[in-house]
Amino acid sequence: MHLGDCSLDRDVVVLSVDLPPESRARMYEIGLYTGAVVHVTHRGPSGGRVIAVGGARLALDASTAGRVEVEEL
Amino acid sequence: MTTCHDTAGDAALALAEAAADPAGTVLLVGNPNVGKSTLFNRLTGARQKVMNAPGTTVELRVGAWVGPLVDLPGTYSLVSRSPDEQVVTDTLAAQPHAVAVILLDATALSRSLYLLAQVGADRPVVAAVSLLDVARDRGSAVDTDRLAALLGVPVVPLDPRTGDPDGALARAIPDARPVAGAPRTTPTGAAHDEVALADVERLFEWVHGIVGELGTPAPVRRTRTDAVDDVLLNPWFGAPVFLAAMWLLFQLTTTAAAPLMGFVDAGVTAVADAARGVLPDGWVEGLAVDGVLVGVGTVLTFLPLLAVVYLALALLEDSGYLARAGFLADRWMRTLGLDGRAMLPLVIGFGCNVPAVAATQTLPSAKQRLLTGLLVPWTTCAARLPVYVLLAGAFFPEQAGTAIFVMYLLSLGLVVAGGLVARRTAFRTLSREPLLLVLPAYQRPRLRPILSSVWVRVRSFALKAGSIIVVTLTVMWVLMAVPVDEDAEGSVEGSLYGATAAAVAPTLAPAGLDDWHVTAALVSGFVAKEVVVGSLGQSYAVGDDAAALDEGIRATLDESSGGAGAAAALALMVFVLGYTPCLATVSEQWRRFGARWTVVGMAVQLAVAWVLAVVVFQAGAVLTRLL
Repeated sequence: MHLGDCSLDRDVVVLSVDLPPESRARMYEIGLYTGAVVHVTHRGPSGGRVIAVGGARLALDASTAGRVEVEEL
Repeated sequence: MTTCHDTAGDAALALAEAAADPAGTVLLVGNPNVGKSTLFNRLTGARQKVMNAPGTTVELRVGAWVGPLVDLPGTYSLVSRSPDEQVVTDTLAAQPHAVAVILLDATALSRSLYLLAQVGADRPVVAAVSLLDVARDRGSAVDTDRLAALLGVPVVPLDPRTGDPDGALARAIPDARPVAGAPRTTPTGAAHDEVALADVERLFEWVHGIVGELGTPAPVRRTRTDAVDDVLLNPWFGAPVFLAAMWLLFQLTTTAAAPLMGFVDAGVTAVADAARGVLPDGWVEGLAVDGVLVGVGTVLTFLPLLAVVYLALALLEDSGYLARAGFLADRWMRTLGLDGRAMLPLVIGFGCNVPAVAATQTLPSAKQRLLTGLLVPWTTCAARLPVYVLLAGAFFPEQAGTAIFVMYLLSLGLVVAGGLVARRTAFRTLSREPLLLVLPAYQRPRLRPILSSVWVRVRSFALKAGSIIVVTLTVMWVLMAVPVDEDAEGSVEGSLYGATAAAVAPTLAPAGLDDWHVTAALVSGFVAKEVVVGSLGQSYAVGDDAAALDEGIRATLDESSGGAGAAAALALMVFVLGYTPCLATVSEQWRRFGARWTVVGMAVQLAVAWVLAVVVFQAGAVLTRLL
């Protein structure tokens, strides 16, 4: 399952990020690393997602959200 | 640090000290949107200097605090991905012994500690923790004493909006030291690769250890910010609220700023009249009043407009809405290879291009700022409207509204086409970046630090862009004052300016515009589009007589176009849309992006304006003959 397919307010764990290394490293740095527990808080108007990572909120566009593989806890 | 924007005594001194004694310099480092610049403003007040980092268009600020304080661009990592982040990496590398103050975000501690570990592995650092109140509200309060014990560095809790009221941060500087146990990483400073990725994972292991020992409870799921975002990011309500915010911003650059600009203009006119009464007639009066004073007046007139726009942008940014606006507009702007936040400068551009170029400061990367700043001149500002009204009224009185509407559509088309071409050429890398935007918690903006930052930015424009405007206008006055034709002495036509306009007029013959009245008006339009109509009136010597002006320009364009006056008028409207908007915009671009990009931008605008005008005229002339 990808982040873009998740239901709202459900805890998921990040399994992998299918992006080139430089973008993947940036996602890690922002907190979206393998093993991180996050949950989707909002859907954006164009298919993007807002996720909670700890106390922070991150917005991802639809394409990026579709490249983060997750599993429900 | 050679390219300076303005001079302010203490800050200039701080800059000199930073160069002479790097060890006494303090570097301010932090993630984007944690309040770093707000803290810098509070610590240094107006004693600061805005400049570009050497060889880049990335802005750095240096101010006077306990020593010279350098505000570095916000970054998540020292493994740089953009020119802004490269400046952080380079500045830290160039000053290996300078103390760094790292601003940690209590609501995103892991991310902040990651940067702290990178910066503080070998260098003396002090950690300042912000947003503690927000973290507490979310149920995950941070124990700063425990954090200091774990990191082995001074940790100072603070609110960037109030600065360092009790001096705790300043007192901690002498106690700065490297972070205990932080793993050392490969200092690549270049693009990410698999090695860098391994470093990232190693650093996060250390970060997780610290966070685990800190024992910070997990934050609550739902926050007040989430509740507000339920509305502002809602697919049905979010877009109308966003469009309303953009409409308000546009109104600020037109309706709201107009009285302020008029007030300043009236003041300058009064001073000019008084100066005319005092100065002796002739060259001295002309140079001082019509050259220098008019230039200074032009600069002063823009200041209230810029202040209003800077204020609005700062409020949007401080409140936390700017990041949401970027998220909402991202899909539309992404087709141009731009960040969603580029929508703001482009909207402002339809009011006035000058604050629009200034508003590119809100964009996260130097390339984004540059591309947006280069596209802004094609947003048709309010000053171009009177030219469209004059020409459309004179040539297509029945369809004037339609003709003007087409100009606005063409303006949008030029921005989109320009963005698409740029994305496939000089800005190819922009389109590959995924959107990953940190949404800060909503906060009530604090007016005092905002006003201080508005003042610094407005002053910076006045001193740097203002000097370019004053010098150019003075040169133009000299060209108008030098007679080349004794028979026509005293008229525009008989001046060096008129002769230059006549000499370049044949270049516009393919657009049906080979006439000195037109080229003289276009040259004055380079200074400001507001003066194009006045310049035409002056060249026909008709004063404020609108009917006589219509008649004059109809006769001119009918003759220059060989009978296809309407086609030539349309070509002229298109040319006015496409070429350099005004001297003030050019000066602001120069200040922000440097001479090379500004000149490239002007050349492209001129070429596009010429080609479009020729195409429009030639097509129009064929239609005229057929009909």
